[in-house]
This record gives sequence, C-alpha cells and structure tokens, in this order.
Amino acid sequence: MNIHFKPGIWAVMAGLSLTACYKDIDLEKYRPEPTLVLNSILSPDTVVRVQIARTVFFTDHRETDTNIADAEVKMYVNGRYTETLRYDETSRMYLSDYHPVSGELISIEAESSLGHVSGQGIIPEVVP
Amino acid sequence: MKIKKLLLSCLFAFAAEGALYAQHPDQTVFSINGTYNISEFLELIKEKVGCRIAYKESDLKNKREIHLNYTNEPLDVILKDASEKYGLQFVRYGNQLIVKKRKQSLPVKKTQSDSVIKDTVRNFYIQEVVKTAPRVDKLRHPQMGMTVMDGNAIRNVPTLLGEPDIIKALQLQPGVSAGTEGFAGMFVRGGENDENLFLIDGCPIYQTNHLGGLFSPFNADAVSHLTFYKSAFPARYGGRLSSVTDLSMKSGDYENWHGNLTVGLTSANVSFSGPLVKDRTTLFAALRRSWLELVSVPALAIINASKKKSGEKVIAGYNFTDFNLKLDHRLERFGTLSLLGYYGHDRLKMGEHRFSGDGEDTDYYLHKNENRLGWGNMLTSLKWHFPINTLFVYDMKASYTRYQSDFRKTVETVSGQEGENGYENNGSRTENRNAIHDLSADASLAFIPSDRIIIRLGTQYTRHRYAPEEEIRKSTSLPSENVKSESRVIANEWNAYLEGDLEVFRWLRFNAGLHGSFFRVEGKQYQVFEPRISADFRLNPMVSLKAGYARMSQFVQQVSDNYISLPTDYWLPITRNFSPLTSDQISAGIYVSPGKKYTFSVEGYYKKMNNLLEYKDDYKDLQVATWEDKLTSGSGRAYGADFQAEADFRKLHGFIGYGLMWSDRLFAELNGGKRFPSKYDNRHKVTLSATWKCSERVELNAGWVFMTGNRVTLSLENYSYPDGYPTDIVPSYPHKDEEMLDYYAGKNNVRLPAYHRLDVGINIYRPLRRGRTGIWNVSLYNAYSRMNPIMIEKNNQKQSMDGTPLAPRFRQFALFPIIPSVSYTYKF
Repeated sequence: MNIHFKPGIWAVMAGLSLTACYKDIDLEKYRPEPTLVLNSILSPDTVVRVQIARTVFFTDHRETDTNIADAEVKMYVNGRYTETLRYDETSRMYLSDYHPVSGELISIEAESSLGHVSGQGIIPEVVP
Repeated sequence: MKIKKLLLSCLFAFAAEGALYAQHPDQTVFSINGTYNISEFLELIKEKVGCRIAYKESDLKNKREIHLNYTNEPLDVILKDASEKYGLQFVRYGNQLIVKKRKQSLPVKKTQSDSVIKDTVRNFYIQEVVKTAPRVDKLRHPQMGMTVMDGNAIRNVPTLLGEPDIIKALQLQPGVSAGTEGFAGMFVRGGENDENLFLIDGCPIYQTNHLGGLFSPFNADAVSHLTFYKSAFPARYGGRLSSVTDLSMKSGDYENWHGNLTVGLTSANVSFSGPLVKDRTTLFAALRRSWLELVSVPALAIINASKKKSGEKVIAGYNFTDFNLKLDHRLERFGTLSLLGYYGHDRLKMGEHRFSGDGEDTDYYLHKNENRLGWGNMLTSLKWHFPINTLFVYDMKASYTRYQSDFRKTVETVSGQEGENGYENNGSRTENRNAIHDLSADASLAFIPSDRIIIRLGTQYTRHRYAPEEEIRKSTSLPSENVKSESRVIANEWNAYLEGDLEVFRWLRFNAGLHGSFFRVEGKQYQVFEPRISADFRLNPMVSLKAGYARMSQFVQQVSDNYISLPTDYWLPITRNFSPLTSDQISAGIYVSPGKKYTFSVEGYYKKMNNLLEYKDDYKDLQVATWEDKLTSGSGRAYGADFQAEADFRKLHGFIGYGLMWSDRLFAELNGGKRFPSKYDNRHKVTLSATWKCSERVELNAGWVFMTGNRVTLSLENYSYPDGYPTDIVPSYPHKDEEMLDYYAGKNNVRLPAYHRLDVGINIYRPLRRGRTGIWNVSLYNAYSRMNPIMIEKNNQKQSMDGTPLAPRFRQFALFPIIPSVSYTYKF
C-alpha cells in the first residue's frame, strides 16, 4: 500500500505543465570517478560466478563497455579464504569451481584500480 | 565582509564613548518646521523620540494638515501645542505616546487620566483596541529574528497573479528559503516546511497552501497584522521547531459599515466590516474564491466536444475557497467576547473517460478514470478577553481545529447495455485520508504593572485525534477485495508557560520564560521543558546587542518522500516509538540605527534539531505492517548569519537582506549513515525589496531574490544488470536491454542552478465619490522571465528529426515564465 498520493503530483504537474519548460543542463562538474560494481547470484546448483563492472556517467552509458577484466576477486566461505577467482574471457565473468552449500556464508571481495568492493550472503535452504 | 567591518567599526566607536544610553526624552529639545498631517507628525515624533505610538485609527480620521514651527522646544511643549491644533489628546506614559480624540477642551483630571493611560497601555500590549504604528523599533525590542508586518506591507509585496500573499512576503526575509517554486511553503533557518507554527488569533492551523503553495491560505484582506519569529521565541509560543507566525485577524468596525471587493485574474475576494449593534457588537467577514472554472470549464467543453468522436473526455478542475469570520461583542466591564471562524479548502480533479465513439462499429463501452484531491483546514474558536483591572488582563479560549486531506481514485468499466446479454459493470474506488482533529482550551493571564514589566502565564490543553493513514477500497466486481483500514491515534497535550518581559535598566531589557509541554500518546508520556531567554543590551541610542536561546518541541510532523512537498503529504504524530522533535537555537546579533531612517542588523545562529522523521530509502519495497515501520528518525543542524539593512524615508521604504546558511541532516538509516545536506541548504540568499510612493495616488514596488539552488537527489551514474547466468537458475531481467540501473551516490547530491527572480508591481489609488476608493494593482511576476529549474530528470528517449536516438542527457524542468496580472479593489 502506497501511503503517498503519487497521482497528486502528476495531477498538479499536469495542470502546471502548460507553462512548464524543459531544457538540457550540463552536469559535467558532478562527473565522479567510476565505482566498482560486484554482481553475483549464488546457487547450490551451479558454480560461483561473479561479474565485476563499473558505474558509468549517465550521458555516456550507451557507448561504454563497463566490464572490468583485471580485478582480483577473492572468495571466503564461512569467513575463511578459499580461493581467488579466475577471469573467463568468454563469459566475461570471474569463475570458481565451487558449488555453494545451503547454510554457508559466502563472501566475495574484489579489488581493482577503481577501488574495493565486497558482498556476502547466506545460501538459503532448498525450497522443496 | 565590508558590511561586517563597518558594523563592527560602528560598534566599537559607540562603545568607546563609554556612556550607556540614559538620556530621558523629556530633557531633549527638538526643532520642527513644516506642514504635516497627523500621520506624518506622529511618524516624525516616533523618529525623533524613538517612542512607541498607539492610537485608534478612527480618532485620526479627517485631521487636516497643520503648519508647525518649533525651534529647540521640549517635547512636552510641542505635544501640548500640537494637541490644540490637531484636536487630539497626547498622553505620555513611559516610552508610550497614546493618542486619543479630545472629547473636551479642558485637560483630563489626573486621577482619571491614570486609569485611561493604564487601560490604553494595556490595550496597546494586547493589540486589540488600538492599532500600533506598523514599524517596530527593533533596537528597543529584546526579541531577535522578529518581523512585524501589517496589511499594507503584505500588499506591497508583488506576487504571483496579483494575489497578496503572506507566505510570499515572509519568504523575502533572510534565513527563510522559499522551497520549490510554485509548491513551497517556508523553510526557516534550515528547518522543514512543517516546522512553522501558524496561529490565527492564537489558534494553530496545519495546512498553509492553496494549490500546492501557489496561493497563501491566508486572505491578506482579513489580516490586521502579523508577527513572525525565527529565533528567540517568547515562552508563550510552542509546538513547532523553526518559526512562529502569529496572525491577528481584523475585527469589525464598531461605528460604520465598510468593506472591500477585489477582483483578480484567478480569484475574487469580498470582505465587510461593521457594527451589528453600534459600539457593542461587530462583524468582520471575508470570503475568497478562485474562479478558474470560468476559464477552464468552457475550455474543457470545447476540447471534449472535439474529442467526442474519438471517444475521449478529459476531466480537470481546480478551485479553492477560504472564509474568515470574526464576531466581537463588548461585555462592558467584563471585556470582549470573540467568535472566530476560518475555513479553507482546495479541490483538484484530474482524469479521463474513454467510451465508444460516434460511428465506431463496436459495442457500447465506457472506461472512467478519475482522481480527486482535497485538502484544507477548518477552525472555530470562542475567546473571552477580560481586563480585570488596570494591572491584570485575562484571556480564555476554546477552539476546534480540523485538518483533512483526501485522495479518491475511481475506476469504472462498463461494457454493453444494461439488461442485455454480456452487460458488465466493474468498478473500484480507493480513498486515502489523513486527518487531524484538535479540541483545545486555554487560559492566560497578563500582569502589566508598568511599561517596563509584563508578566504572562498561561496553560493550554489539547486533545488530538490523528488519522495518519485511512484507506477505504471498494470494488463492485470483487467484493472480497473491499478494505477499510483506519489508523487512529489519540493524544493529549498539555502546555504551560511563564514569561517575563522586563526592562531592568534603560540599557538592559530581557524576555525570559519557561514553556513546558506534556504529550501523552499510546500510553506513553513525553515531557519537554523549553527554556527561552533573549536580552537586549542598549549600548547607546544607536547600537543594540541582542542574544537569545530557545528550545522548541513538536509532536506532529508532515513527512514527504517527494522532492516536491505536496499539501496532501501525511501529517504523522509521534508515537511510543518516536520521541518528540526538539530544537535548540542560540542566536546573537547587533542592531545599529545611525539615524532614524536606517537600521542595520546582523544575526548569527546555530540550530540543532533532534528526532526528525523521514521515510526510509526503500520503504516502498518493505513488507511492513504499519506506517511507523516506514519511518526513521535522525537529527539536523543549521547555522549561518542573516544581514539586513532597512531604509525608511518618507516616500521610499526598502530593505536589503542577505542570508548565509548551512543545513544538513544525519540519519543512521539514510545515506549509509553519513551526514547529508538538506534539500533547502541554500548557501546564499540575497533579497532586495523597495516600495516607492511616487505620489498620493501611485505606489511602485519591486522585489528581487537571488538564492543558491535547492538540492536534489539525482542518480548521476548507471550500472548494468547482472548478465550471463544460466537462465534456468537466474531468470532474465525484463528490461535489461533498455536501460541500466540507477546508481545513487548520495542523498541530495546535486545542487540546482541558482534561483533568481524580479517581481514588480504598481498600485494606483483612485479616490471615488463619498470617500470610496478604487485600487488598481498591476504586477509582473518573474519580470525578466528567468526559468528557474525545480527538478532535473534523466532523459534517454530524445530523438532527432529523422528518428535517430540522441545521446542521453540531463534535463532541467522549470515552471513559471513571466506572469503579468491585474486586480482591482473597490473599498467602500
């Protein structure tokens, strides 16, 4: 249930749009250094696959390939370091041969020239 | 910086004289030479002596201009002579000059005059019978951050569509941010829009916007004057963190009937005032109604007629109404009984109908989609004002205030004809409502032994009934989906205060007090003790140092998750899980008046706000049971300085204001727990305002505002959807080829371009027969048509003429170009 009157905004805006005006604005001064992005979906049914990418400034995002191939990606299982993942050119992902097990805490850390990023999660029980 | 240096130089120069101001005006001699009407004469006396002047407006009527010529005469001699010439009685009492109509040529006996004087002084303070001169001597007042405006000052601010607007007039003050153009309220010294207390004759109201802020809910014709505080709040006020606007409504005239009729481009306004029983019972009533329907209804009828063939109908409409009523009845020696009424309401509807158009070879169908919004306040109160004797004044009041906003969405689909096979009628209606009902009773006692001492004490009880989130859903096709959910919160609030205003020496005056607030909700009781103190150190007749501290509390907050604050945003009370909002503000400043025509002031402040409420970042995705679970609590701070220079010549009045401000917020559950700037962290604000009375009949006014832009939360970067997983394990994202995901680096991370706007206006007064007046007002809002952006969007859809997609771009959205307006007022 949405507590707010979202349609109210559009109603008021629509009423005022007769006089409204759009114009391009240059926000280059806000262009930040890219941020490292880690994506991984862990499942006991497959090996660990990690995608490392970077953010891209909105005005560039059609042209830019955001994949990061030179990161160092480490995996920890239940807090213990297990391995550094290898980069696979074909899938453009970092791969391990490990199959996570339900109940395990999997942590992944990635390091590149853009900085450091990490994430972790507990593998859920199998839903019958 | 130069101004600051200049002020400091002045301060040290005056301080070096080593003598504090102790000269009594009786010992001063004056020279006056010229022809003056009574208003000009009083203004001159006020300037020369620096005293307060109180008078009944009716006593000054029809006084002719007199030539006065005095050289180095004491004030008493001048007043005695002027008294004879103007046919008025001037009574000195402390720093007051009371002006009354002479009822007999012989001077009043001393024993009688004491009583008369004290009565009048008392009335002066409670601002009921006599009208004070509009300009307050800021040097002699202990309060900082205080502004007093009368009806004329409000009307002289050129505004959108020519509607005199109290909120817009206050937005010109340094330290007050206007928020989002066209939608805003007031954001005072880093506070939020809901942290402003608006009192109509002492009764609070909640909603302060018509059409999302385009028009003020206060009819300027119904307002006698207002007092606005942004720091060092007197102890008698409480309930909001950032500002107090105390509006005094006009009372009816005890002798004659008269009124105003104003017709503008968007609304009409009528007010009248007069005695129901002469010298005993008066009535003042004002009604304002928008009349946009006169334009929009025929325009929509034409549009809909042209769309009828294609089976479309547009539903749209807006109107607002407000009504003020004040009934005063004199109870002889038992004072005055006043009945106050206020009603303000807005209605907005938008939607469309689609139906089987003419000539379509299909069965009959009708699809309705209608959205209706309504919001407003209702207030009624009964007040008894009882001057017990010359020392004590007692006030008692009972009031009821209701705020309500509702949104109704109706969807209906009809196919086929009723009674025939295949006929179907499916409809659903969703209604959301937010409401507050306050029943309140209060009593106060003022003890005024002299001009130098005023003691006030009072208490107030309020029973609040909040309905933070009510929802009714009805469906004709699926009755099992019918829902009626209510979330009522009952709270009891009790306030008590003690306030003293004391002039200890002629160079030291202070206002100090304690305000206690007790709030009981859901079985839990909160107490907040709020000390207040402000002091005025008069270094010499031209320089005054002021300092103040005030703690304030607040038990209800209007929470918005939109960049634009809407009038239908929910008011949510504190509960057992959220503590009362509090603020502590310290402020200090210097007031300099080198000559009676100029006043300079610098005020610095630091304000800390605690227990502020905001929606959690991801509250829409949370599977939560109650509205409380969607909120999170944090703190805020604001600091800066306000500079103001005022000049008041006989025909030209104006001021320059500059506000320097930092404002930020800290919430453990927002922005990763890091401090972030508030939306209205407007670093610099410059205001220029001027009114020039070119002649008796023509008045020009202008206002220019420059402000560092508001802040918005904007995703500047994007990142890709996860990809490359086996589809039997990870389903494909539905829109991954169209757009990337938004990445938000921080809250309020982008500042909009600077806001600036020039408004100009002209008032032309046209005397009519039998003492009536016609006033033409012509205004230009945003005279050089600066398109001030209110938001920025990311646009990925733009195409060239040949259909080639253009590069993604950021676009700013602005609302108002130059808007001319005209209105006519007929005073009768």
